Amino acid sequence: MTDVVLAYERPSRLVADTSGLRVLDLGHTAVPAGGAEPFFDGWVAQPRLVAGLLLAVAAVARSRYFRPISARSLDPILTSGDGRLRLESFSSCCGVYARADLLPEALRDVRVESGTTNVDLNREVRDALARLDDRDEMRLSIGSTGLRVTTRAAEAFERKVALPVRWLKGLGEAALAQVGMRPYTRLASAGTRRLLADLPAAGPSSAPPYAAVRHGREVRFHQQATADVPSVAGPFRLRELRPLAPYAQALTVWTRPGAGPRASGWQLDLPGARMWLVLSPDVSRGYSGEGQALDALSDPSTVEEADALRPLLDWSARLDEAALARGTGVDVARVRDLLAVLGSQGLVGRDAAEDAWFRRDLPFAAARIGTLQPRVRRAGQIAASDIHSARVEGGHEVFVRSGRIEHRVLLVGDEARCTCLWYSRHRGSRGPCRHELAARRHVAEQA
Amino acid sequence: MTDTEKRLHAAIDSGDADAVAASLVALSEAERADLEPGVARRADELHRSPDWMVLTGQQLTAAHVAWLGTGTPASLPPEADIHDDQDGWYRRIHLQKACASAAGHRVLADRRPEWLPKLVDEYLHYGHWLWDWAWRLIVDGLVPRPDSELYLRGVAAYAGFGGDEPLPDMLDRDPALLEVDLPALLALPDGIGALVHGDVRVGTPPARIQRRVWSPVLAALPSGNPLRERILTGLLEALGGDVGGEAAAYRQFLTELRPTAAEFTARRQALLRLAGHRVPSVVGFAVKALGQVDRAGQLDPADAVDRLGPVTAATSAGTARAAVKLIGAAMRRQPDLAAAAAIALVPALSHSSADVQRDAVHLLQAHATDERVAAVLADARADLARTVAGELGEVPAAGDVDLDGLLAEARRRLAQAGDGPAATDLAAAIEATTAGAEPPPVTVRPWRDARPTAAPVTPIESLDELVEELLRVVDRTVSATSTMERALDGLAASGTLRPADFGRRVGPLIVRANDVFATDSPGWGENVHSDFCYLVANWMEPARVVAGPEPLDSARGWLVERIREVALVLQRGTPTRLFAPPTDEADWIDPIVLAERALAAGDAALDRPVDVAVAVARLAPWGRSAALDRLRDKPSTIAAVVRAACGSGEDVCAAPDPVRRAVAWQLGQPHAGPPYLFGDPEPPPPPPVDWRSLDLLSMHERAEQIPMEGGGICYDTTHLPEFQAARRWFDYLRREGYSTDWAASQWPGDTRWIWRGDEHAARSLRRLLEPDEPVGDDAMAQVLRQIADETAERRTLATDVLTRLVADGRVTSDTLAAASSKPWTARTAGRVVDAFDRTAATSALHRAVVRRAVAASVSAWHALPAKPLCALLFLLDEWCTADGCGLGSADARRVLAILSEGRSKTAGLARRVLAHPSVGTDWPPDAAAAALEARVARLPQ
Repeated sequence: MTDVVLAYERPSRLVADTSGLRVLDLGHTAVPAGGAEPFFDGWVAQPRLVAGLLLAVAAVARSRYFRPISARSLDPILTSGDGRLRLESFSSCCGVYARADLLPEALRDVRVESGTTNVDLNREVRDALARLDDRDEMRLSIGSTGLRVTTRAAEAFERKVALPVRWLKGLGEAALAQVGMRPYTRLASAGTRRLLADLPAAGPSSAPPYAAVRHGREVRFHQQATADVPSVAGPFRLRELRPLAPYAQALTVWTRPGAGPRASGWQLDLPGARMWLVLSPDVSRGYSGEGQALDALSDPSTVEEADALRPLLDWSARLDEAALARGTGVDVARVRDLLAVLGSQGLVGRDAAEDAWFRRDLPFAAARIGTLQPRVRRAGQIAASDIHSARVEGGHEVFVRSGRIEHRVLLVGDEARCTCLWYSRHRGSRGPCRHELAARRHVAEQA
Repeated sequence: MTDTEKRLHAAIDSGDADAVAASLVALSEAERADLEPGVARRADELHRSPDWMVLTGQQLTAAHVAWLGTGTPASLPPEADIHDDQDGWYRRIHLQKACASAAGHRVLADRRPEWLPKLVDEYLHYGHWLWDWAWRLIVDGLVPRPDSELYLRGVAAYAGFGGDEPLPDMLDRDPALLEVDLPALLALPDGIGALVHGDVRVGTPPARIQRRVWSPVLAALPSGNPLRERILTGLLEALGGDVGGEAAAYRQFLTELRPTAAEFTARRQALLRLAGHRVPSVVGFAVKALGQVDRAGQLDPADAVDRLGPVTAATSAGTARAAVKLIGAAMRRQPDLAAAAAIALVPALSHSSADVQRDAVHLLQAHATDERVAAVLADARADLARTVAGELGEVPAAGDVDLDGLLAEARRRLAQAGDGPAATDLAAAIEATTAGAEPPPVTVRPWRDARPTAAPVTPIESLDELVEELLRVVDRTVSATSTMERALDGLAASGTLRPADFGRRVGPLIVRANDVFATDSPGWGENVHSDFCYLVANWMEPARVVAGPEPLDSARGWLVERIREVALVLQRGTPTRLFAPPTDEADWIDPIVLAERALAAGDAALDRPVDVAVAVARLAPWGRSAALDRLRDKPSTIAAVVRAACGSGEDVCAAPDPVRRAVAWQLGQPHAGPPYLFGDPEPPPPPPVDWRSLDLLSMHERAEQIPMEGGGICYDTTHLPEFQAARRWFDYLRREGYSTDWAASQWPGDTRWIWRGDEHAARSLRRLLEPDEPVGDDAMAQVLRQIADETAERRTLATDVLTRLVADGRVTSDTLAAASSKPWTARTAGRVVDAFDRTAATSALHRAVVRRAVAASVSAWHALPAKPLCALLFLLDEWCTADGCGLGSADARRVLAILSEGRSKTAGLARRVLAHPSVGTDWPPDAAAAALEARVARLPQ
């Protein structure tokens, strides 16, 4: 558990300007991270839709879909840049990632600087947003200089949120979950509305995942698993999309090829905007333990190389991998690997629709990155004298001491097996166990 | 002691608070101060009395009334937190009770102490009944009317709290409560929310009757009353916020106020905003209210068309239809809005409810001459229900099927196929299809027709492999039953020979087995993973005592015995390969392999009768003659057993009882009874017991009180009939829950025993997804039961199973109708209808099968409540429209003719169904083609 203090200049508010028009004046963290200070000021084309998006993102942040007891939520994260806004949140149970992308066509007369910040969507603002109507005009304004100057000291307030480390880890892992996802199907507006209207009710968390299968112009949920069809555990977690259904133009369902429990991505296309939900492979399974990049993270040189990439990241909607490759002198494939490492650390976000990474510096995460991967840390703590390896046919047999016993790790090519409980439960589906990480490091050093 | 003091103490001792109040009247503050020490002492004595909660309650109240009349804030019991100072908290409660009593009120009214406002403030923090006490002081003018937030929020939350003085009576005494306090409350942040949430008071258990306090009063205010106006406006404003789960409370409060059409009209813009709210119930409320505005002719047609389009996508068909109606009214008033209305109605045209679609189509058809309207209708056709599309003149496309060509191809394939059940099924299907009839279900007899197609199961060859398999079982991460089989075989074969680094390699297994013992303390036979932990312990320590034999009267008994036999093998210390491990993942044993095992093991294998019996039960139907040849003239009993199981006809009376029974089961009528009993009568399951229904209080009263050695009493309920019934039921559940999948793998030739009880069936439904799994009457009954289950996942799985069964021909309309012929319950009918809808939507074959089954089972559902009945009749209409046929069943037409009488929605739908032509076949060509293709697909490749 770690305490995160979000210090805002002032609360967010929806106010009327001198001409009576509505201005959503979002309070943001006083010390933003990233490049320039985040700043955004623009007219919203469809106030009700934009309000619905903000409310949906806020609703995910306040939700806990697994064991719904008191939720610890962090306010949504806002990234501005390239004429667009991205508002992200992550459920308290670490199983649902949400992002609203406001695209340039949804915004008018935009002034935008680049950066990342948390924004405060308090009850009063949510109330006001819920009351918005398309007949209202709304200006979205973040970090008005005038207000900052006059109010910084006087009206700053803090909100303290006790956040588990797994929340921070999960946010990064949610980005990695989108890597390799491909569109499974795209529904038109009618099919989208029907799908969202007929979501299966929440069942026991141990229930097997559904398969979301395309039937004609609709997607239906089945319990019969089918390869390459999206596996969706707890489709009720899509419920925050329901209020946006009347505006839906299309819904794209994303998945990784293969079978078994996998994350699924749900991209709701709206006029001038996109709403994303990425569901974890199981209701009880948060993203924090997925361990998708542990192999890379356990290699100090890779982490260093990824860290060196950070100053070169710009705030465009798609990070230019070729330019980064030129800037760093490594090939594009390696840049992709390094961006994945940064993604797992929450330092860049993933936009599957663009098939690209975008820069997003979590203001609170930078100092905590070192604590985010306990498996890597604990693998590093295993002494070399506690690891013994021998060559076997096609690979290595490694014994790694763990307390009073030794775990046998069998490494054959990319495959690995271990006698520990983590491996027994997940069989590699949630990344390598710490014994495997230590064994691989040992074998590499021996070589 | 003075006379006054004597009178006062006498009044206290008699518990007469009124006499106490009378004896204090007109005393000066000095006289009161003199009396206070004695009163405080007496109050303290009474508080310390062990019986004060029961015997001296009145005396305590009287003493504290006296203390209230003589003490000061410095001497009276101070405020205390129950968590920090329980005794002090009780003392303070005594004083509060005295305050709240009529006598206490008189004492304070007579005394009028200067510290009374401070006490009021303090008690307002407590709230509840003390708010009422404070208010009475205010009404009587003893303290000034507070304007604090605590007091004002108390107006909402506590006025009329106890119900002793209803709110209207309070308002008669104190009109300022309504005229001053309530407006001040509404001026507070979320004051309206406080009013809404304080409106409902719930009585004490067990009745817990709800009553409303403020809304009846406010409902009685005349229209135009400023306070009522303010509240109505405030409620609509609050309802428009991010109310989420609170929406119902606001909406209900608003409904209780019975707003008039004029009041809604004055707020129509707010209602139009609410119609776009994200909470469906708020939208429903707004649309209903706008209906009133519209009926009053006050809804601007342009507003309706401009704002209500998204509402026509509402999940609730009622709300969506109401919005469509409002847009329709706008179109009638202002026909030039037709094109805009058509755009607004686009969501309605693709609504999941055909009624919503139909309403929208009817509206737009009247303006179809407008090319923009016509374009919207044309775009929507693909999403329209078939019955609605039919009203647009869209004739459903007949299945573009070359049935004659398919029949010719099927005959060609049949001619090449030779004999076998699949060929027989195809021949029957060709005959039925030619006659325009539905083919009979396909034949599924794994005990006769199984073929060696499943992946092989190989024995464990190394210690590390054995450890990995055992870890899967101990960690409960088994994904295939062959894991248990391989682990048992590997352990039996491992013996006592151990490599030098044995401890290192088995270390993780030992730790995890010990963890199971430490955390669960399982007994022998409780569950599979802990029994394997015992087995690991036997492996490590072969001399360990092995548990006694289990009766073979349940599936669990057989499994536990199999584990126990391996423990005995380990105890003997002779490495042994088991007889029963399957040779493929379908759990069969290739007969030739069993013959080899018999030759290798000899009669020593008969020391493990259950192992051998299961091996016999797993004997595959193919390759038996080769096994007979291999064992020809072999003199051993075990060879005779295998030969007999393969059909040699020889006597195996020398074999142990379970083995003889298994052989008899293979050769006799193997599929007439539960295999694990091999012919013995099956013990019926005990009646189910829901522990929540047990009357624990009554059981406690009838319990035997047994003195315990260390003192105290033990309440023993084990003799009570309900305890014994519960124990029987929970023992049964425990036995049944051992491992259905593994048990089913013991007798792969027949798994019908699974479907006879809900416990195994609920865990095994996925088995029916396999095309080679037989579906008997019990299995079909379970599918129908699971379709109506409470959990969405189980319902969905059962629907998937039904879909698969229809697709591969294991279920036809006759078998589905037979399973559906039990009367449907009102509670579950909606779920069954939904599952039939989903199944029928899969293909033309599914639609035809479900339609015919529903028609054939009309006697089971015709008396359902209106909602599910209408849903089913609507679907029948849809299916008949799609298939271009009517109901073939004369019985169904007769029942529907009765239902069609009258003007109800049910009657209208029944008439629509009956309107479909009933002449000719009701087995459409596209369904026939799919059924034929399913049977062709079952031919051996």
